[in-house]
Amino acid sequence: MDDNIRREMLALLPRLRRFAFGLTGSIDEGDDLVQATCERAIRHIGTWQPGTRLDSWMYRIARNTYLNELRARRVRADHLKSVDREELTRVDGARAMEAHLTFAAVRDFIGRLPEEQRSIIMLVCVEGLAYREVAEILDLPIGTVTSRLARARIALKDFADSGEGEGP
Amino acid sequence: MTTRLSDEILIAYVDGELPPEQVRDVEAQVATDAELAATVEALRAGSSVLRAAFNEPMRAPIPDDLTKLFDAAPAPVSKSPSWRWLSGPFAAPLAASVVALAVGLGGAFVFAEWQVERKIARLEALRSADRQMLAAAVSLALETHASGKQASWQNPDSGSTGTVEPVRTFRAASGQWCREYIQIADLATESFQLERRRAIACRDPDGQWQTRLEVAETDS
Repeated sequence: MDDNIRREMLALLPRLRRFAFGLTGSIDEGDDLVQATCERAIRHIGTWQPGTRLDSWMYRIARNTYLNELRARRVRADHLKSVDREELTRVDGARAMEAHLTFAAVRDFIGRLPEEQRSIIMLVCVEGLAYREVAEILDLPIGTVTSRLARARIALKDFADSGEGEGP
Repeated sequence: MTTRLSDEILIAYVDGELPPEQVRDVEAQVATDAELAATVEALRAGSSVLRAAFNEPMRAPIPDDLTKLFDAAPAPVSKSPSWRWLSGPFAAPLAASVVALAVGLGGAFVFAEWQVERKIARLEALRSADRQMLAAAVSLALETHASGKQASWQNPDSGSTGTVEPVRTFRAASGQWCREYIQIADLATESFQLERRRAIACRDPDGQWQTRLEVAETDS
């Protein structure tokens, strides 16, 4: 692999880690994802099209790898799902009461968004990508990106509003 | 008063995605409407809170496990001999400067373009090899595998892998034998996007399996 590309990839690591943190909700799990992403990117650098953005390509691999992992996990945990979800809402309710607008609560909120909204809000609001770039990374028409983004943003706004109004 | 601005317009405005003439229009409306102004404010606050909540990896040191990956990255194996003399850390700049000396900077630019086109052509070749292997795996699985038994394939050149699993066999009204199958492909040339398709293929009198119906399966 070309030294320039290697340097460029290294420079992308903090942003990739942040994106992976957003997708998985934990730094450790995020780093596992970044690890898998980089391994794939390095091994298959020949499939990157020169002249296109390296960052978009790596975000794309990260997101696809994450989706693959989600699918695998869903298959493994399918029969536990209903129980899990009940447990989750009960705990969340209690937690949201005591720490409504802490960063942890925001991360919690992002973790409960559907994956399709979570990826988009992370790429736009945190990674600062243009809608067009996000549409390319996710293989979606731009209209789908804007409508999913709107849903996530409004939900975030409502979450923050309710958090502020709910205090003791 | 003009019609109320939609959330999507306001969000695009906050994200700097609106064309200038529309920006002026939105700003004029926001200036005279306290509720709109509050929404814009809240949307901006939402973004900053989000950035702050996930900012830790931007400041924390990168784990060694990750940086180590880049120390020992093996050079990619080049399959085409005509391409090999151009690889290696100095080859490209060296070759580029030789060309630059000979024909000037314009020539170097053309050379760089040519290099890019060579790589794109190689990528296309990998893609089409993936497609061929996939088609071969489908034929093999449909012809020889019992329902529930997977056939797998991989293309070591591209890194793509996949499986084909017949799930059902039936006889069509025409008398042809048909099989339903699930095909999963993890394509390196598509940034490892997992493709999952359910399809039905029927066997022609000459033994060729023709796909009659194909549905991409997505989640949830």
